[in-house]
Amino acid sequence: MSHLEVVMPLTSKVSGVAVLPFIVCMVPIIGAIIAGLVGKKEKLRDAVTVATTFIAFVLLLFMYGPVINGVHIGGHFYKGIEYSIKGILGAGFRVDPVSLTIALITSFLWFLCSIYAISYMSHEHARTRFAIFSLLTLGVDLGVLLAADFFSLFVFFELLGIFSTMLVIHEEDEQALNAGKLYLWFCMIFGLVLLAGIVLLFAYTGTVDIKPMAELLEKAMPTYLRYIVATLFIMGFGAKAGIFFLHVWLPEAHPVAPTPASALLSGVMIKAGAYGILRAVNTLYAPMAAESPEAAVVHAAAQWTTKTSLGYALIWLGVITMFFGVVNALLSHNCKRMLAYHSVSQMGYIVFGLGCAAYLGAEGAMGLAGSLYHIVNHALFKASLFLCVGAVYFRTRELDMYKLGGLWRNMPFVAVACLIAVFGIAGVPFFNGFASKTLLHHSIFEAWEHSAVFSSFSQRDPLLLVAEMFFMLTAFGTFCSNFKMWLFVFIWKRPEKFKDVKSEPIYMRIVLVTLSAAILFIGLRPNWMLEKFIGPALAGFGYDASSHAYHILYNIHLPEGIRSTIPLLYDPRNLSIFGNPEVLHNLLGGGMAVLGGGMFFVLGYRLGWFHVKVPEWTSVKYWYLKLATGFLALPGKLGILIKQSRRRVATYLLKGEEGRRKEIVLKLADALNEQKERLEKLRAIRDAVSKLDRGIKRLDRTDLYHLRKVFRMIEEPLVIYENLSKTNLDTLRDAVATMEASPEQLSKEDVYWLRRLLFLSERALVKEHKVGEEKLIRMQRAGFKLQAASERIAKEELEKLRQEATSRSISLEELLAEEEKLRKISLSALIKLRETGPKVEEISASSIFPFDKLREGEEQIRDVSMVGLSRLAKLSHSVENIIQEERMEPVLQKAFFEYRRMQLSYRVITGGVFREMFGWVRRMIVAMMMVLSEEKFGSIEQAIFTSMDIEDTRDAIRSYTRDIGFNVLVLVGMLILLCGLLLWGNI
Amino acid sequence: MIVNDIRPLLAPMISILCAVLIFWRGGNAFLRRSFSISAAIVKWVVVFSMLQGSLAGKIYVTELIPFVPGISFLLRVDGLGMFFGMVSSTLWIITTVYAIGYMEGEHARKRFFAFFALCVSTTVGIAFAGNLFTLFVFYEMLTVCTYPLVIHEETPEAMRAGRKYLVYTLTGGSLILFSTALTFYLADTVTFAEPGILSISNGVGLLAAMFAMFMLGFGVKAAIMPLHGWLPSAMVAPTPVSALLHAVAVVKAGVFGITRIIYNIFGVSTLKDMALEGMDVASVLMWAALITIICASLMALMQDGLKKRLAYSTVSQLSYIVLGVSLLTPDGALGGIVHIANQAFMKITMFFVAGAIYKKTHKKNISEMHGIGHKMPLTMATFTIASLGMMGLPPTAGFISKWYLCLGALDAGKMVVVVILLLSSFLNAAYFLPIVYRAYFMKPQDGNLKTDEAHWTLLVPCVICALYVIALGLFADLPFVPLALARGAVTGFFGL
Repeated sequence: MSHLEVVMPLTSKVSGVAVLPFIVCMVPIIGAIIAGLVGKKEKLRDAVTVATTFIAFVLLLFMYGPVINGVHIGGHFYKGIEYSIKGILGAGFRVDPVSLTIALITSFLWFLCSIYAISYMSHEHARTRFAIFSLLTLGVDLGVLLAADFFSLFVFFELLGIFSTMLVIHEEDEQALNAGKLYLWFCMIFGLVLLAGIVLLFAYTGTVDIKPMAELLEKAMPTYLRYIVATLFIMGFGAKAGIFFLHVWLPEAHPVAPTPASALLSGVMIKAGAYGILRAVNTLYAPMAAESPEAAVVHAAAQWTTKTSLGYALIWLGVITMFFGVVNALLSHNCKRMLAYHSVSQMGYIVFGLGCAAYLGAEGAMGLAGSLYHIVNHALFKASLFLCVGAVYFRTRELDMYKLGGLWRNMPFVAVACLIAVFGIAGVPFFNGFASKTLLHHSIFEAWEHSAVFSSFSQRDPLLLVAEMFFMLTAFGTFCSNFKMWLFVFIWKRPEKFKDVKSEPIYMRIVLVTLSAAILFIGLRPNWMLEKFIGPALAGFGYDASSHAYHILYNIHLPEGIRSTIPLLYDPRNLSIFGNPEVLHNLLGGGMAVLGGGMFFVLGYRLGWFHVKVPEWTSVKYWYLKLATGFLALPGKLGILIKQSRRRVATYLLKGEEGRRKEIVLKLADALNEQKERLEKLRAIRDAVSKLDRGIKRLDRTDLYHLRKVFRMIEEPLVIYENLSKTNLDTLRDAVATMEASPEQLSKEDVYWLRRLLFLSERALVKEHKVGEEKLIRMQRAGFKLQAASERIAKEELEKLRQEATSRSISLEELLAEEEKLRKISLSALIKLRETGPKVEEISASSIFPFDKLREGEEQIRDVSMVGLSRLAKLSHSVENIIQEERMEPVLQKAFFEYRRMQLSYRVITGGVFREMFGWVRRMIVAMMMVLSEEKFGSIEQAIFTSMDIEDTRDAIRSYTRDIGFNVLVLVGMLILLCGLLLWGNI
Repeated sequence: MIVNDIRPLLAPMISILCAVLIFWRGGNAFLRRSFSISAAIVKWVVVFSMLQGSLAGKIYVTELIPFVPGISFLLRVDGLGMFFGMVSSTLWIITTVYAIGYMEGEHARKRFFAFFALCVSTTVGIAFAGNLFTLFVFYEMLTVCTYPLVIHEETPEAMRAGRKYLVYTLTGGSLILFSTALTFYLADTVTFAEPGILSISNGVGLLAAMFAMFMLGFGVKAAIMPLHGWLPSAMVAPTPVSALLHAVAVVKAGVFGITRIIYNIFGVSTLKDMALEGMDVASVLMWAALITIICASLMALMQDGLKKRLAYSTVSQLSYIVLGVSLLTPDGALGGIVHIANQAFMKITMFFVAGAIYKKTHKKNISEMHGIGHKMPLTMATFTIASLGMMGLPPTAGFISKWYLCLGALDAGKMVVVVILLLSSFLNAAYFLPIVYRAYFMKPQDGNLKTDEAHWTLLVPCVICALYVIALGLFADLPFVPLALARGAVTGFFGL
């Protein structure tokens, strides 16, 4: 077969043309630098942008000859370009017809969009930034398409994500920033997933070249790994392509970008992902192109298997994606969001086609042709749709299709262009989408017909017919939603405020006319694309040239070159359109999509299907966010666990103390004395509180309840102390007495009991300390409630008194006195609140209680009570003496003061006890160090451990036990383990 | 080819001389700066002059009087030593410039710069140490010299951190001394040799115990969990010290020691033999590194202080290096060793940025850094580049290390390592990207969008390091870059 002849890539050694791919990638980057330098001069910058994209396009056109037709240089025949620079990461290029086709459509659209942007961006901010990043994105996008190996491809792919993020966040409002964040996360995470795939590929095969290597893969990798690598590739590229469950970023990011960027993101940038999947599945997993068709069939049978299963998965991934996308599109109000969902849906078509191609193995030419064709077509009509909507937005600042209408009077050109694009995307006959969708539709039928060969049941797979049904349903939905948008925006009744909307600027019109012309041209001459681009691209994929697909695609006379007389598609030059049943059948299929879509629209419009609100949990994003939040909360929870276990270890280490017993006992005696004092204080508090209880009988039940709660809080530690003293106090006193009588006769048992008591009281203290902190916080909260309640009561009483004053004419004097009393109550509560707030905070600075919120609450309460107070104060200042005997603030203040003192004394005791504990740890460390280094570090030890006061000791014990204690324990444990191993090893 | 030369001794001596000069006349700011910078440059030139020879396979040696019969004070510049020496002397120049800018207006600058010089001197000493004993001497000297830098602020917090640092590192040091003695007893020599000096005939159990003690000793400075406690608390030191501690001197001394032990004392074949005998100590080390990588990353996620977060990130990244060398495959070792340089440049950039922000705005916490990218765009751009490097994205230096680590892991047949490296990349993204996001995409609290960069002495080092991070990624295959040096070292270790 002449078109499968052995061809050599053109390298830079052979011809200067080979440097072109590198130059094509560099041109936009240099253009970006120039645009940045002349950024202040608007016109010059715009000219640079447009010129740069144009140059890139022209340079790519220059490559057409060498890549697709081939050239004769010095008696050799070269086809394809290969070029790489040694020593620089990611500078390897190889161009074949597939990459050239996609690169051409990419740069063509970029050129148009940068013309469009001249008008569109004129009212936006940060125009220079937009120009720079748009050009940079073009450079790296072309890099992705022209890269020779996955390594280079990956470098460009990651840069593409980073640069295009700057386009997404252009508006810098909250929505754009959130979308940008999401987009960046997807790029980063799935970039790394892709990297994992590339690493695995390289580790097992030693190469990352993009070329068919099914034989090599089969030899080098176990089966499961082949699937893992393929999955990683599909996920990595699929995230950028927006396939289902990885599409979350797409409907967020595409609509928020400025329109030219949306058109590029949706039209061409996601194709980088599709291109990646194509390269991974359809190129990498294909056997080497065989020299003869017989060889292709014979030697490849086994090697197609992986690809076949991958293809089946891709078919379903594509079907789910296309259906899911179109359902969401039907429910969207925002035009750009709807178009973004259609991008998801159309990517589903493309992935679906790639799946069919992979599934059919050597006979998959139809699917690949359909996908590649659809990549080109989707770029054209999706860009056109976005730009039409953008033109409308540019003049009306409105994107909700239900709020627009009747704009064909204002912008007839846009209306027509939009209708053409709508017909394009819907696959209406004689528009471009029809050509590619027909090929895709045929490929699923082929897959079904051949499925007997591949499926394990050796019969045709009926599920593939279900896939076909979904394909048709999606086609209905596509027509319906797009046509609906067109109707609502351009035809429906025009709202008053859009009466004077101006027509679109001239640049936009030029771009839209060009795109519409392209859509119509491909629609009317579908074979032109097949002959010039798609056909040549199919060579080199190892397809069986005698297969059915080839028969249909090229009328088999291949030696004459690639001349297509495809009966599947009509050819206007060939007048027998309706004479050929196959063509007629296809046209009818296209017509059915229109009819079904139309019916669906009428039904949906009548029954209000387009305004259904789906619950939140049905969206994929909801679950992503759940996952992400859970992931971020994980370390916090782990941290708490670690902290707890560390504390447990520290407590364990503290238990085994030994040391100067006399001092300990004396200190305990002191501690007990202090406890006694504290008991008295607590009793005083109890009395005070009960007094308080009596004093405020006039308040209502809730206040009493809160006050009782406060009281109970204070009482609880009291009970603990009483218990403590009951059990331990007497024993301890006895011990002390024995000690004083005859210190040298102290028995071991006594020492043991002393130690035990010490431990018990210490534990109680620690517990009490914690409880006290908690109590204090609760107390403060109760105080807030109390204040709120008292204020509410004050208001109520005031109201009541007023009523009484009017009805019973009570003397004003009495009324004022009552009010003043209430004022006093709330004022005193306020003072108390102010004083206690910071103190509590100080005491438990280490606790995790949310003080910010408390403080906020305090602020609010304070504000409220200030208002109330000022209102009360306006009435009178004269009466003061009524509440003299019932004043509560000194009592309460005293209570708080005592409690605070109590807290402080605990701290002193705790410090004292801890110091003893610390002594043990210190000795342990010193002993260990001495053993290890023969007193080498004696002096350092002294320097470190002398002269520490109590507070310092407490901190030290905390840090030492936590860090060293734990680490030493682990260290010792590991040593023991190793000794065990040593013994074991010797045995 | 072994060449007797004075230069290996000259390199550390220059810094010691510099320190002496600063002690003598350091009160004068001009003299102090001139001493520091000129010593840094002269030393770099001395080290650089050996580079060509070292790449060609020469080994420069200086031998001084023996301490004990059989153990002499030996300085020897081989591939690995050259690599580490080159990295630390290059970074010293940059850090010195930064420190001069940063320490403007601080107290006790004479002490600071003198000990700073001593620190680097001992680091180069560690790099060029020719036997375990010399390595130990410099290792302990480094500990002592760093102490005055850690406690520079002289606040109670700083004193406590310094104390903690000493206890941790000196305990580790004593373990090393003990194992060194044991090595001498077993092998009759402690001089580093390419295939290693210990052989399996010394008894598997004993070797395993020795290996464990070495790893515990060096692991303190390499901050393998749970021996990492000192590192985050040592963050109270001034930023240039943190940068130097984290990027070059202290932590890298730890991983450098581990590398020396694995490849020059035990040797690949001995360790592999031990694995065959059922004592797979290298795998144990590998698992410790893997656990550290993940745990430290999780801890980093919880931190709000920028320097604290960077500290935990360092703990995690150091274990990349330990992981690489413990894989015992050429690619793994290459990835680990080259990460010494790559991590150094990336992390030092981040610390420089943290310092510049603190110096300019007195903000330490990430939660306060809204819109800092509007104020200091260039500074934060360098931070962004370094974060991308940390994630291991091309074209940055981090990618190169991660690539080789993955290949090495797959060579060793350990798929789990690849998975964990991937997970670690996610975690890196999770704790660095929010900072970048906050800096650029959120509005500053005071609404002031005016550009206000730090002084050039703070800014220029950031930019140079960031450019270097990209250059190391893009031009990794050129000669004279760390990868080539590391490759030379690895060739020796594996006898390729």
